[in-house]
Amino acid sequence: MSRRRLVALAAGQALACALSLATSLAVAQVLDLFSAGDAAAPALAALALALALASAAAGLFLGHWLPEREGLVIGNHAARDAAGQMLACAQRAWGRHDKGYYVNVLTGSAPMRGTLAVARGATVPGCLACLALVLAVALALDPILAAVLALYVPVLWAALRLPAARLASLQREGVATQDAFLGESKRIVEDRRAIAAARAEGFFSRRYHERAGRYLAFVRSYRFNEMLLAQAPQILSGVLSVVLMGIAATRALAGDATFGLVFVAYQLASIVQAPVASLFQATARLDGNRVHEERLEELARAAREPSGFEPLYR
Amino acid sequence: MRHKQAPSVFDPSPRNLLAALGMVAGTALSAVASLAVSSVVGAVSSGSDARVVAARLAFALVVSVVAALAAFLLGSWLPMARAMDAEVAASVRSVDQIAHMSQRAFARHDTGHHLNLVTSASFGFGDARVAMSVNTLGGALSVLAVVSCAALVSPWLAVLFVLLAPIYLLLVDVPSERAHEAQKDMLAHREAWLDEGRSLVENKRSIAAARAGVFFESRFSHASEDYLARSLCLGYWTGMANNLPAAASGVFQVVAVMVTGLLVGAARPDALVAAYLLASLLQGPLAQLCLLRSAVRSNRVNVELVRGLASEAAEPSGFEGLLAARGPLARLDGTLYATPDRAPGHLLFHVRDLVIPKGSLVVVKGENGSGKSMLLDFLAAFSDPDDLDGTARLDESLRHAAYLTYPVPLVTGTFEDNLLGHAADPEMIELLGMEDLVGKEIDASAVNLSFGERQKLGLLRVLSMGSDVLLLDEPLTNLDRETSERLCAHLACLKREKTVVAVMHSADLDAAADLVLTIRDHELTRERGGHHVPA
Repeated sequence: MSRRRLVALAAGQALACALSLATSLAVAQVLDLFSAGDAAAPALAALALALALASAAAGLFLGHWLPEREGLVIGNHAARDAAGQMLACAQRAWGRHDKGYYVNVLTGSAPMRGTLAVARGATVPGCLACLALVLAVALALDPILAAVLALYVPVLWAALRLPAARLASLQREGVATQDAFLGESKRIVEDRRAIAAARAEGFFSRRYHERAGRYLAFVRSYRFNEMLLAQAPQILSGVLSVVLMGIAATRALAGDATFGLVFVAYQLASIVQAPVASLFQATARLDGNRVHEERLEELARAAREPSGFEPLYR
Repeated sequence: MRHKQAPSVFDPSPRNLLAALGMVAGTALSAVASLAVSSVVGAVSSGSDARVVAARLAFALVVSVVAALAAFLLGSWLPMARAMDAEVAASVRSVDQIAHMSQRAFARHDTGHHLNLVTSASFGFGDARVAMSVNTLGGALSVLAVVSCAALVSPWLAVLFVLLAPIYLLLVDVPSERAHEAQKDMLAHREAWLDEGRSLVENKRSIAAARAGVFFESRFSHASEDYLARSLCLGYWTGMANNLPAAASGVFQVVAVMVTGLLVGAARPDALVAAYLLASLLQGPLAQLCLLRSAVRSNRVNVELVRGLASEAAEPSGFEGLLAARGPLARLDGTLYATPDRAPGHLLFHVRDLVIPKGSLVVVKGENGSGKSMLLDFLAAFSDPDDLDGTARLDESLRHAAYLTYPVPLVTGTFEDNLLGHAADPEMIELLGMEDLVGKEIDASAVNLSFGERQKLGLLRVLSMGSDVLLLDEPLTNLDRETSERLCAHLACLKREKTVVAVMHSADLDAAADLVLTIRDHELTRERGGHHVPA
């Protein structure tokens, strides 16, 4: 069903990346022509503008909206399938879990199937294709640029793993702190009369203040790592872009390239961030949400199970 | 820690101003990094000496790293940290106000309203506060910083940036508005979808028994289709709101190069690159400016709720006018209702000139629901003074009365923690036979404390408070015989020293009581020596 669509989405992501690269190359040409006072500069600038528009549209639709749309559709269909399977389950199989479990499967695991299917079928191959494209362009421009970029990919990957691992451990540790904070506010509201009667308003206010302090410390740490994970590519990109510029500048000074190459080298550093970061997020999502897939598979098996009463019928 | 004032959404505190200035510093450093990078291009294109290029590259490297770190720490992290601080501070303030507000104000809303106040509404209020106090100022000054840097490259570039700003704002605002509408539309359909799913799971057995699986599957499919249509609409507009500005930024960068190339005579390569890079910096601060509108719009209700809570918390209890410095402990005359609307169905009892002298031991009796506890609530000012249709005078000492009522609050922690900030009187520990409980870890959620032990804990708090007035609602509940007898003897000894008003279902205190009040057939009567006299 959706395998072809997922392949098309992966191709769409690669196309969006190609357009972004083409725009950067065109802008580099425009810079060269403008600074040389070439009369063809405005025409090429118009072409660069058209490419930029196409790249923006491709980024919006091929890079973001269509994969998200596909994920929503697949997830919704998975929920309908799960509902049918639940109704088809024999009582013996159904009784293995409580109702809360099934509600979570229907409203949590099934929609997640869409996200995971897109991550596996479109995002991972799409990002790999984008990386290949960026490296190919870099190779065409200068093999050293390509080598530095190729080295950078695992460095960025390793840099992303640190906050990701910290984030995962904080997520586990923070549940109790979060529960204590939210639970305390709930009990103060629910027992307010008894608390006031016991003249314990100050005691509970101070207690809530302390728990709020612990919660704030946790949530600050969590969000910091979350933000670091999201922005690490940009931070590292600053270093990479200047390194790439240095390589290109050396060639330009030797007369082997125009200053447009220096600009393209700078741009490559930022273009390579998106596919690496998306690839990392997609694999992390696939790893972290395997349980949802397992639950859906178990439900599908349970729906096929006989009730056990079959031999009793004549 | 008391918060009585209605908090302002705009908070120009030094920390918020610093956070806003931090955002500006982050953007300004990014602009300097853009100029440093363009100077490298300038040096290369002008055929400068390799050492000059190397020096500029080194400078660009340092500035780029510093700018990236500043953009992360000052531009992104600091405003977010301020928002988290404001969210939690608002929640703490709301809890404090709810804990200290009068019972009359508290009773106006249900538990769900108050729970929403201390969580979602307070967090939303904190977000709106930081959006207004930090992001708006920081965003506006950051735009100014970028435009100023553009003016250094070319005045035309600065003019272009000023013209681009409203386009950016539209690109963020229009999809945000649509996303907001789509979300409102989607919520009901999501709820319907969840309800269908839950109903299917909850009733799976009866659905199977009724052979109604196909029917319920079809219902769920319909709900899923509706939900999907709305989710797609929301996903589209949310995606546009999040990604359109960044996508447009690439187009505007090319426009900036074109303008610089066409309008700046003999365009220098460094100016062209600077125009390209600076154009990308406009997007972030303008998005911060847009945040103001969406934060204020989506949190308007939360802001009103938090401000409403502050006004209600500042309200007097209504009992202030009933307090007197002299006279008996209490004097009541009229009709007591369960609610201030005084509906006939809420009538508790009529009371005629009831006087409770100071230093007396008073027993209150009556059937369940007759209004005994409401009488104690009224004496303790834990109700609405309008519950009484008549007149009342209450002694000042009642403001500090020790009150045993239900449920007896417990917290997970030590025995000392469970004294809720009060100190235990060792004599009362002995009286109540609680020696084994001292030092015990108490789990408020588990059953590691018997009902009797819980009752003793409540009594210990009340008896240790040193208050001149004790209001005890069924003090003997769940106590063993021996403890009950010791407690009754102790209460009898307190006569003349303290005033004790106890709601009782037994005759244990009758003999010692100065006054026995009985509520029967909506009448509060005073019982003396077996004679019933209207109170």
